[in-house]
Amino acid sequence: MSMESAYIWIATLMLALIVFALRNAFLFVPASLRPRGLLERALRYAPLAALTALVAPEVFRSWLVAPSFTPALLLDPRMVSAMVLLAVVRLTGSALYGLLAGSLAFLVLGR
Amino acid sequence: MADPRQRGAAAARRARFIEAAWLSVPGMIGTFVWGIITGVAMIQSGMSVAQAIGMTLIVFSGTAQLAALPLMVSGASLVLIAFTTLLTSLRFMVYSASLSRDLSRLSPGLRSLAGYLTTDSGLAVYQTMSGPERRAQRTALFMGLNLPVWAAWQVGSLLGIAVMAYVEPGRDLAFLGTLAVLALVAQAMKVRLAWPVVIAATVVALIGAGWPYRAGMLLAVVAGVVTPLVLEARARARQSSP
Repeated sequence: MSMESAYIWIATLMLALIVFALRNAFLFVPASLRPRGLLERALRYAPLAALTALVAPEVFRSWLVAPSFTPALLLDPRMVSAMVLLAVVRLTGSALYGLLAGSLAFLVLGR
Repeated sequence: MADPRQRGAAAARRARFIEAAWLSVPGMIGTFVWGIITGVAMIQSGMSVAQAIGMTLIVFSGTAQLAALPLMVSGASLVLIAFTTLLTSLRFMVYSASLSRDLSRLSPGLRSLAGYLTTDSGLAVYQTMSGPERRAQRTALFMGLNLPVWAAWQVGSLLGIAVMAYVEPGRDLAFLGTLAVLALVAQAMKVRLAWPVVIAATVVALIGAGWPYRAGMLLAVVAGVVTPLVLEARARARQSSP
């Protein structure tokens, strides 16, 4: 894996600018201008939708490339560690414990 | 000699800062772990040490960085990366609206520093601590809650970057970054109508996983936003009809 250096730096600067602008948005623009109504409700769901859309194909990656379903797919390290993570978050209510358990599962099972 | 009243105010600010720094400890621990994983994921994605340190310093957002990395690895367009960053970081805009009253009197420089330092865990504690106090103390409280989290993030990221020098090559640890994002999804699922968002976005993302221009991902975001809005509208329609 290698990425063009200029591409990385430009993407990084862009990320920094966007995040900085959002963090400062209503510290500089009057808060009375914040989105309302349908837009406000749509924006409320957007982050979860975007994060899910990013993560789902990564978690199911071996399922997506498999020619047919086999029981072995259920034991795929990515799938198992994701399930461990979700189960631990569900049980403990802590995203941190979930991440630690899921990462441990992946480090043990993955190659 | 300084006016004793001024000295009293400075001492009160310092006390508030230190009190806040203690309260930020649980947030620091989580942020530290996310930092380590982000550091690992950055190097694993093919970034140089300088690039990884640069990114973690100027972006300072685990969500934005972890979301952008797989897109960057696949050589996604800058427009798509910008759009994804915008969507996944919208919460910061909401935070800034909630802070605008408290921080509006600061000089533009200090205000933007406070904006840059805004963290999820810092703000969560800040919002539980409302009380009648001077703005200056409020600012000290805000800084005390966020500055230690910033430090924990930077140290964690550097540790993650350093650890990668000792990991056997050929070991693919990039999925740890995905797990860190999944943990954020799991945490965000405590809100209302989260299930329809996640199910709709997952189904569309999986169906469209191989589509060009990441169209599957973009449509998955649309599905994840529209589905709960439709459900809301239907619930309202049911309520208003007798």
